[in-house]
Amino acid sequence: MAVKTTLVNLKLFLILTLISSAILLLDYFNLMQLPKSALSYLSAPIQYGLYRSAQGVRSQFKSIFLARLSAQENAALKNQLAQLLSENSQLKTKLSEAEKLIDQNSSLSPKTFDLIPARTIGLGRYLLIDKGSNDGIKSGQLVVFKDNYVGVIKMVSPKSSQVILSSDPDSKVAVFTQNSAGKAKGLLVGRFGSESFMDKVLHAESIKEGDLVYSDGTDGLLPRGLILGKVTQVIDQPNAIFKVAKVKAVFDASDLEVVFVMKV
Amino acid sequence: MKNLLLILIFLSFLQASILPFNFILIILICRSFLMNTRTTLYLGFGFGLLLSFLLNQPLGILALIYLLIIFIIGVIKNSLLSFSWPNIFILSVGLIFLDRFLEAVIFKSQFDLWTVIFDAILILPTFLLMIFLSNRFSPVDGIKLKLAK
Repeated sequence: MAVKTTLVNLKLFLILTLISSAILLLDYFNLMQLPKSALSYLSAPIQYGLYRSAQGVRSQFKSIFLARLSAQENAALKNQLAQLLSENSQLKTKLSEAEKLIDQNSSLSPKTFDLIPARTIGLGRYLLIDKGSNDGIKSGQLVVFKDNYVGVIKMVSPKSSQVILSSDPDSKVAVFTQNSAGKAKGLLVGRFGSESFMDKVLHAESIKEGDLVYSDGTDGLLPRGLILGKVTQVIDQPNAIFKVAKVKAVFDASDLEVVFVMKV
Repeated sequence: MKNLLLILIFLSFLQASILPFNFILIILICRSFLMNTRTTLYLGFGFGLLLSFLLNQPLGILALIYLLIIFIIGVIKNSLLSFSWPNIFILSVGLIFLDRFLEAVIFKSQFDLWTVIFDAILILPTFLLMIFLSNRFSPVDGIKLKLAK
């Protein structure tokens, strides 16, 4: 039975193979062009429609994929941007500090004065800086900014130091003013607040509003010529022994980012 | 039979336009194992010609290849070889490999093993589906209602 079936199938197989070979031969000699072109009128639109539908589906999936990819890229770029902004901020700080150092060197020559730069890290009654005994800071050393006097180191710890400002009541500095009329000597004493008082100024000595107040240098603590402030008011009472002038610092201590400690 | 013809026509267009898998051959192979070889030979001849036309290949080439494959299955089926699923799967993969190899030789194109693998993955699901569909819609002999006396 199986053999009979196989033989029947073999017969059919041979017939169909012969027909296929005949069609192949006809096609080889381009004799099948007419039926092919007739059939293509039917098949081409169907093939085109299927292909376009598939393209539409693919583009939908592509959009989803691209959207997902864009979201991932967006997140990565945001992270990168945050990093760059942080780096930029650090670089700006460093640039500002470097510029201040250059400015400082042009004001007080590094050949004459050995200066240690320090960042301000706090301001209460005293100014706090980020350098301490580990960096060679000692009590009594001067703190300057350009050619302005800031204060004196009061207390030192390994990593930070306290600075008494010129406006502190414990601060007493020998100073002088200079204008076209002459010179006036006195003692700059701090009061709580942003103003100090230049005391013990002789009535005969000339001092006016707007005069700059300089360190005298006679006390042996400060070098001569550091700016301590500007005269804002002169109090000249005939009954008083001395004249007094209100002095305001040229800058606000809270605006300082970098100061310099003078190593003596 | 009408449904099968419609499905095969649709799959021919799909194979020619969008998805380069051997849908027609896989269905013909599975049908050869399940049904009589005679009808499958006619289907192989017809759809081989159609696919050759849609794929812009010389008319008759694919028909010859499909006829050969179907006949081989018919011969093996009538032999004493047992038809467990692993045997059917291995034989089907071998025939698909033969088809791809012959096409690569005749059309002088590169033989791609990945297409054989993708076609092989489709064999078993197609085979099971055809078994399910053929049993689902054909009446089972021998069911008789017993009327109570």
